[in-house]
Amino acid sequence: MLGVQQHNKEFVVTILQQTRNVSRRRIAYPMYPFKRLTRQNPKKHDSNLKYAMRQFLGPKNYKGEYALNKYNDIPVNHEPNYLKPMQERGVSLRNPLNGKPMQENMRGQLEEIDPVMNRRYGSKRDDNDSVSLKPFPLNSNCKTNYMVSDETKLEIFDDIENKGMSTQQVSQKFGLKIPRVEAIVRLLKIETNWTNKNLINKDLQRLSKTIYQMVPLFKPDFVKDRENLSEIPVPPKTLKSRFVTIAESEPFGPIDAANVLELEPAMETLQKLSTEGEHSAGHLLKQKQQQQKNKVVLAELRKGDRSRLKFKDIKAEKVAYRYGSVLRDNKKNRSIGFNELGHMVYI
Amino acid sequence: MPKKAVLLKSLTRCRIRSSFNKYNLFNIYKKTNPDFRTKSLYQQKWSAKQETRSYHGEYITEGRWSTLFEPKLESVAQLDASLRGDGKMEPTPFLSQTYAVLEKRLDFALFRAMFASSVRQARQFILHGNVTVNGLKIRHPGYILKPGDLFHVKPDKVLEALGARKPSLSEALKVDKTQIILWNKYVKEAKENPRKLWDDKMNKQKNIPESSNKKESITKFIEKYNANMEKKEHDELKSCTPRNMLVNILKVQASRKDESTPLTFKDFEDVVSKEDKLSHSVFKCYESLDKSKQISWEAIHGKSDKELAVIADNLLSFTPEMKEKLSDTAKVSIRTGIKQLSDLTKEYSNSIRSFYETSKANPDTNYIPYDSNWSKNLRYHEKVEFDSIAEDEKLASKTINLPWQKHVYGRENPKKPYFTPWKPRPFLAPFTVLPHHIEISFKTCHAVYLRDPVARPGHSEVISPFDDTVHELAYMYYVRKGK
Repeated sequence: MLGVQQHNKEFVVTILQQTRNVSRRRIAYPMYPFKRLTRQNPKKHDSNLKYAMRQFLGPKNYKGEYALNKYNDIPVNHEPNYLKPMQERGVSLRNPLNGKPMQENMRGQLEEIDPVMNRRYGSKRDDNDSVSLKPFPLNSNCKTNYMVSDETKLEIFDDIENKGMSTQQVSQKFGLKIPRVEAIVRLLKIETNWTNKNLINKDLQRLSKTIYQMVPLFKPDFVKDRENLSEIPVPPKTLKSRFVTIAESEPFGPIDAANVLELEPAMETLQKLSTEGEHSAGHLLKQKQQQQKNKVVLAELRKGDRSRLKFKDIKAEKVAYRYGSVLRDNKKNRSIGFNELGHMVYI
Repeated sequence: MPKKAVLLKSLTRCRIRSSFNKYNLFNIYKKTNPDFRTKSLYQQKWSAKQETRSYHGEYITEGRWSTLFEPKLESVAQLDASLRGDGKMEPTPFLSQTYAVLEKRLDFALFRAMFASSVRQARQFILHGNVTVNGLKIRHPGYILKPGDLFHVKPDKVLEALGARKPSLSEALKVDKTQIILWNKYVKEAKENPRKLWDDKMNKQKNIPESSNKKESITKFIEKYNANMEKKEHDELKSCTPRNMLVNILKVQASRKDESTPLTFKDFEDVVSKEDKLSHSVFKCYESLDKSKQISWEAIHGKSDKELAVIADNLLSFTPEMKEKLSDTAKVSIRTGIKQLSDLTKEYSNSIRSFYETSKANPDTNYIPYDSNWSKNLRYHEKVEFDSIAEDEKLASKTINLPWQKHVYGRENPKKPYFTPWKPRPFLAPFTVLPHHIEISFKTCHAVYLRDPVARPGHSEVISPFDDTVHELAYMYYVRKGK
């Protein structure tokens, strides 16, 4: 915008620039100090971020592997190798021969740096050595599961298939939830079947061994590892606040609170947990039976009935098109479901 | 229709995706929590939604997602919590369950079970008909899994997803060229200066950090080496008897060309190969036996090993025939010879023990004592005409003959779509997260969907790079209509 003003008989031209709202978008540079690019030919199209990434990944060797990056290592001792950006401040490379951290110097060459110096850069907490089961540095609530070791799996299989123990007993013995115990047995059956048919080739064995060694192992004797078998779905009534007026002198304990919230005693909940629902023993079998039940229609013939054919009230939209209901075939993002054959159907 | 995959891995935007990509790894590495302090509430909700949605079902359009979203979140309570008594219970991250409904989808379950390297790839596996659920082929990525469902992906696809990329023939030959050059250089150095190279190798092994996975293979090798040595020691000690020694001495006597050249102690060095100094006493023993004229060259020349053994037995314990025939002086000389021999055997077995003691590897320092013969077995790789094998895969795999690789690099089985023999893709370890709601068998590429993911105190089963505070704002964004 140009503004022309007369000032002291001279014309002065002032440029009025429109103020812009500053964009909140920021380029996501790493928080740690890293080397910037020097002046270079603009046709090279290199950016500081790309350079930072190259510094993070380290050089490729002639096989195309990032041998210096510690996150490229495949652990073999059941200790996961998760990202720890807070502790190392951008020093992700290390000399594989002696384990010393490495960093690019001012001349662009990699050189070993003193671990003590590196610690000075990093945070004061020295938990470099502690093995973390948390895969994401920003989310402390996310943890990796434990892998059940091959020996334990065989033991579970033996207990259930040969010794005839119930899944509930086995679940108590090992501290694994019933669905997991059932799944382990089911998968082990498939594995033995595949082994007998010689379907597990060398590559698959290598893959399974690699992952087996990478993840933490489940130790049944270790109390912390065991799954909590007394977990119940949170009663929905407890999720909302409830207000009751009581006298100041009136005692109010957990039982009273449970009464107000209309909760059942824990004994009943636990019993239900063991007999019904997906956590109960043999729930897969029950599910199957139920599905089979639904298929078979038993007609009941009572005394005095003239025929087996009977009319029964049923909602029209359950069996056919209800006259007058809106057909919105072209509705965007209609909710969908799947039938027993795995075909998609609109609900 | 999914969203177009544009700018997914942008370093500038730094969005975290559900993928094993190395760009994504760097983005997770440099990611910081979004800054909410300077923002209005709506801005906070918006940016939280942006961040979380870019990880949770980024390819699902907003409209489709809004039909899937359920404001009611699943979590579990711990009945025995009051029994613990410490009263310290971490808060339950309820709102991390905002995207729990997506985890029921087949494509997400596939990615969580690590059968695909990204959710988009899992989607592709399903669409291409590589996935079955309870034995039924399912072609819908949005198929909702029920607790107890068993799903399976074709193993080749899983190996491709988690394995390193298969190099093209020209790339592989380039690597092989370097490998051959390096190997030949190594062999040349080993032949010229075996001692120095040996020491260098041992020093390298010593310095490898405990955490390295090479350490494990070295320790295994050393264990095997020591076991082998112990077996050899055991066998040699077992065969170190006066009888065997005597047979060996007789063998040396029998192998003389004629009687005119007398034997010296040097000829008996082979009898006591582990300790050359003992050859003097062997020679003494031989001399006293020779005095008896029972083992003269004519007597044993050209006899087989079995016959020699019989003679040795006879010398050790005389037959009645010999007792009568032999003169007293001969008997005495034989007896002194045998006595010397038994002393010698004792001494020699001691020296065998000390020899193996020094030649065994030290398991603490991983040091293997120098063996001067080690470089003799190393062979140079033959010259390869890379121009002539550049087109012909079969010829190439026949030509390349490195001690550790008898085929073209990464193409042992060129029909497979992945690096053979299989090796993990780069940066697999930081992405290996075992889910709590799926039980997996990697040997058969089967998995069982146990239940829908839930939240419990201090733990959310929904795998997410963002914590509860970010999910809370995202949840607030989606429940805004009072759904």
